[in-house]
Amino acid sequence: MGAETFNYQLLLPDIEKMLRELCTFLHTYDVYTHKFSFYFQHQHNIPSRADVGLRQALRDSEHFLELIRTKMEYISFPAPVISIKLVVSKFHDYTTSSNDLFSKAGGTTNRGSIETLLEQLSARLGTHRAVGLRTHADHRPEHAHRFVGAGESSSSGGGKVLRPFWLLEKPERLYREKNRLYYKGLIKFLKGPERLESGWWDGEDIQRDYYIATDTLAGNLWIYNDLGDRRKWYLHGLFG
Amino acid sequence: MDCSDKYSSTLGYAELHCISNFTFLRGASHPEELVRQARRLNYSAIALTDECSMAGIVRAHSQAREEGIKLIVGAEFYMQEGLHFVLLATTKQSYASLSKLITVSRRKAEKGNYFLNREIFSEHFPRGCLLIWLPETGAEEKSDSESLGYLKKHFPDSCWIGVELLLNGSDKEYLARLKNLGEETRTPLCACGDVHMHLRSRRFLQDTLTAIRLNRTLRELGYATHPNAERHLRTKKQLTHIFPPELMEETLRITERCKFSLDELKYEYPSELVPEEHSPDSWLRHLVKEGSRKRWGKTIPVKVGRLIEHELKLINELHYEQYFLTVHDLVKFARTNGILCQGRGSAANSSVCYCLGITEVDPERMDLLFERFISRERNEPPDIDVDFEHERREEVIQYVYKKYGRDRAALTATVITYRLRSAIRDVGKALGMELAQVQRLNKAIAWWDKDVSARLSAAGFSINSPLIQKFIYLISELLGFPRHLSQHVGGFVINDKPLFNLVPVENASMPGRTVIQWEKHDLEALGLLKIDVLSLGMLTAIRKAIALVNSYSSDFLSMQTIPPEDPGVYKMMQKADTIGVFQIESRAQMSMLPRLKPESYYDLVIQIAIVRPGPIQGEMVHPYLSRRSGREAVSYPSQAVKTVLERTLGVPIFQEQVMQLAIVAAGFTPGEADQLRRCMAAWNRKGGLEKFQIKLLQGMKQRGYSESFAEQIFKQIKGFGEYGFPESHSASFALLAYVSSWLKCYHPAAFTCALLNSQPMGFYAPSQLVQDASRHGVTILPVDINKSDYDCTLVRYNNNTELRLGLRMVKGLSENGARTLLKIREQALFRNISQLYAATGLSKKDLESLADADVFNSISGDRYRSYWEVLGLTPPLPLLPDEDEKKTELLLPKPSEAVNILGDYASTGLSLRRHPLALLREELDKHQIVTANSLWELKNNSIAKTLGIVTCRQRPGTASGVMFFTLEDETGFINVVIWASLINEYRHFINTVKLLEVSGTVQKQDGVLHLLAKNLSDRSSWLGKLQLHSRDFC
Repeated sequence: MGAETFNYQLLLPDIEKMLRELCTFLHTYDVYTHKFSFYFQHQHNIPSRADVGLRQALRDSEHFLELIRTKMEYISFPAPVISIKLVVSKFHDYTTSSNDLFSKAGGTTNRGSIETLLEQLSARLGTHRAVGLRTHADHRPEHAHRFVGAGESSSSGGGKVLRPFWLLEKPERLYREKNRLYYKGLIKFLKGPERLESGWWDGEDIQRDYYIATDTLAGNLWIYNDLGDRRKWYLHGLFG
Repeated sequence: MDCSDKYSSTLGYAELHCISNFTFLRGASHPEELVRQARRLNYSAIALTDECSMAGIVRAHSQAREEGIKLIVGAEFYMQEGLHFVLLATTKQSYASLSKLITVSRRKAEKGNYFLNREIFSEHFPRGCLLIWLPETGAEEKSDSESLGYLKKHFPDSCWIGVELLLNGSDKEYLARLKNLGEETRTPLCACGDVHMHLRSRRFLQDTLTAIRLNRTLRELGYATHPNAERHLRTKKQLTHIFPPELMEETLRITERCKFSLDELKYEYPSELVPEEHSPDSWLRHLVKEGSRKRWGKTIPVKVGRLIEHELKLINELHYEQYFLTVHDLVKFARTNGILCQGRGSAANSSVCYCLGITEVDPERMDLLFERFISRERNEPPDIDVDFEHERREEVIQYVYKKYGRDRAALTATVITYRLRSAIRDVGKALGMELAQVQRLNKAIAWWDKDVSARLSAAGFSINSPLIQKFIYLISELLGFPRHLSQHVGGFVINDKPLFNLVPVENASMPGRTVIQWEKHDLEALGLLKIDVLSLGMLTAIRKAIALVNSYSSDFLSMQTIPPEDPGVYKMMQKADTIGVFQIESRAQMSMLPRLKPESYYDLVIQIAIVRPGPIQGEMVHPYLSRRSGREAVSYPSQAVKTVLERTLGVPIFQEQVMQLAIVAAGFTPGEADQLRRCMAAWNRKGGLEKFQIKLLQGMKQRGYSESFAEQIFKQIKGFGEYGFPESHSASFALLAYVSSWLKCYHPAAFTCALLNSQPMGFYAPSQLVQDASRHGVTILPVDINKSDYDCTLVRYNNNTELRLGLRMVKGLSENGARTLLKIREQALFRNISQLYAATGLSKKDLESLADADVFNSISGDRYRSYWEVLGLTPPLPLLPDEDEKKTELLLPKPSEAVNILGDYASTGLSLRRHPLALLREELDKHQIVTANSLWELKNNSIAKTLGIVTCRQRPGTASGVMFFTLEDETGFINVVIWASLINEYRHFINTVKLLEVSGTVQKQDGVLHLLAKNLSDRSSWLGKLQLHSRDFC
């Protein structure tokens, strides 16, 4: 390392060079990797590191660079950096292919695919904040999904029924006057009812009639009538 | 829910797709509940369409008859290829074809399942039935028309598309799709409800049943539950909002075509029992005549002759000849094969049955009126149960199958229902409770507890927690729900034509057994006939005892030649000296004997019937006893009542008397009285006695009876419940009680020997039987390798009879091993163990069992030495000479008396040495613990401390929480009464204690001694490793 530095920007050229060398190596041996780590040696003998994980084993230096760059934005060094080491501990002799629906959309280059997006999101927001949704077998809409790690498979196939894309975290009570319902505008019923009575076993029993309805100002809505109190109507979801 | 809405009163609807809880673990309502609710909602009709089953249809039928609503008989099927449909019977013929399809599908699968595919369906397709196809909601149009095409090929003008709109969000599209299909194929549509429960509120239970069925917790069920509770009987108002009117009207057109009622089913007796040249009547007369000659010779007593004629006339009038002939045939088979049997039940004690040899109850000995057993008005089949020796009943069953074929004879079913234990386990699992928690719950709710909440709370469960509340609610709903069909112990249905004409037949779990889908009550409700081929251990014992007596007695003995009314026998009974005797050996019977003091056959009939929950709950026991002893005057409220109650001193004791009373004192018709009887038998299960209460009380008031008398009668009716004991049964039982008492009285060795050879049976374990025999002076000889037979035997010795225990008493000895041993022994007696081993090649396990039982004592010394020798056995080397002379002397200690006693109990269940408590006596004396015998020397109401081995604990349902213990020490038995409050205090050991110390108050009355417990202590540890088992009765 030519000089000690706190500024990661100043490290980038070195990092870029190292990554290019890595990719040359990968091409030469016709292998891929799905994880690389930078080890930083700081003053006062303090170490630190930055790991970059990939959804898919790759050997694309541009992509690698972009990932480490976003990652570095969030790293604050404890002390000036004295040296850098790049470590790759595992190589794959093929790029792992994914059976996910979205992988085809990514085309031949991997850039811009859903995996890349997820990597970027995870890198930027932290893994705990970029999560995936998985359907969960439960008749109750608010229990019909589970949060999982970003990109984990979405098994447990859903019900056969139509569900809105966007589910409100908390149902919103609808204004009702003279047997008419209003959200942003007057609500008209399109389809229904779909009656759901389920979940008594865990203390969150629901008894509701769901309808698909439309509001000229807000598009297609998913609303329900509480069977416990027929006067109460709620908005529970929005169709895309 | 407004059913009086003007809409609903004009529009008709019939529910055509409805399953009950007889579609096990799917349907969540009883058939009766569904029918009642359909009536309440003013439906025009309701079909019960359980999945490939008719098991619940009779209950629905009876309820429908009561409610006045039409019931359609049908069934639902899922085909292997995925088709789902309902079949409805229109006529008796189409019912038979449906029943046949169910039979075929059920017989093709394991018990509880069925298998139906297109091939079977086409081959056995149910001609004349109506079919409602139930298309899948998500299916594609192409498969729709293929399915429909297939079904219409078989049902060109009797096929409907069933439209089930269950508010699943796409009802409109579904309806449109089916309407389209209907128009294209010219198939009518009808409305259906896919009903699983009678009320919406059963959804909790329905979801739970789903969890139990799929063996998952409710949380894990996901989409396996129904999304909503629409699968209940909806009001017509709700339905009109959901269905187009023409779809609802179509259900009425279908109803119109379903004309079949289960009332049309008629039993057809097997015809092969009557020779060609005879009519059933003339053949029965012929057999009765033949039988009466055997009984009385040429001169039949005039009274009996008249009775026979009277009965034959009645039988002829009601066309019951073939029933009597069928029973006669079974009995004849048993007789010719030396199988002892005896009939009982309403018709069994007729003079006709006496002549036919079905019963030994001599009509001269009893003044039984035949009408009491068969009545003109009731038009119900007579009821005869026949008991056979328990070890040989299977021969009779096989005879029935062979004679009539498996398509014409089958066992009736028994519906296994949810009991507390099974309900706790399954509901607990469904709610996701841990196994340990379920076990704790199971423990907390012990076998006697009915009040679940109180018990749980006492056991530290928070009954306010939502989980426990759900648990309690679900259990209370689930109790009594059917779980599966099992086979009845011996109820046979025999028909002239294949049985599926009457009812579907399915596989039982026992290989080669088949059961019909109906149980006893169902058959009764339809007036169909069944014959109970039951087994009775006492008959086995009696036959064996008689054979033993005949082996040494100069006079030939048989059931028929046992002298009746022997005063010595009654004297023995009055002392409650009845261990081992039939029926009157139980503790409750024993404490009644010295009070009732039977001195004639009829007293015995009363004795047997009075110690029953019925008379006890009806508070009939004390009045009868006081009247009998003359402490209370015998009086009758009227002459009419006197005719009914005279033979029991004005106190109703038998079921028949209660029915008679309802007729003469409350103005019931015989038919109503019979309904009352059925209701008595079932009210615990179904309730419904209240309407009789009103009628009974009013009727008796009108006829001038006091209210207290009327209340008392009603109380007794309730008490009779399931346990009501009919005079007709008691009469048969009394005969066996007398015969066994006679044998015990005059041939105690033979009697005990026969009992030991018929185990397991009866109230007492071999140990108690043997002790009792010794007390009566019978010498008991131990099991001996060179002297014992397989069975216990009698040894005549100087005109004295001794009892030699047989090898069958040795626990762990295989029957094959024992037989081999005996065969080899025929050639020469065994000299020592190694020679025995070389000669017989018995397994080590058999040899060890024999050594444990001290059987080698005569050839090898005590059990230690024998065991040592057995352990050292090596396979014999043929070339070496016999080495049995070179026995090395062992330096083993002699087993102590305690060790020997322990060993005896462990290996044979009894010991001929001292009673184990005799060993402890010295120690017990220091604790001021007195013996059973010395309790009698104490004054009434004095306080005493005693101790004994628990041989029996009972908790009768009638005794409001009291427990009865029988303790045994070396001098005899001690009866202990423990009140409910005390039980709670000692509940941690009360069900497990083996040796119990009791302090309490001595109560002596009428020659019976009870100790009312005040303090209990568990002294089981004093017994060491003694293996003792109490017989527990709840």
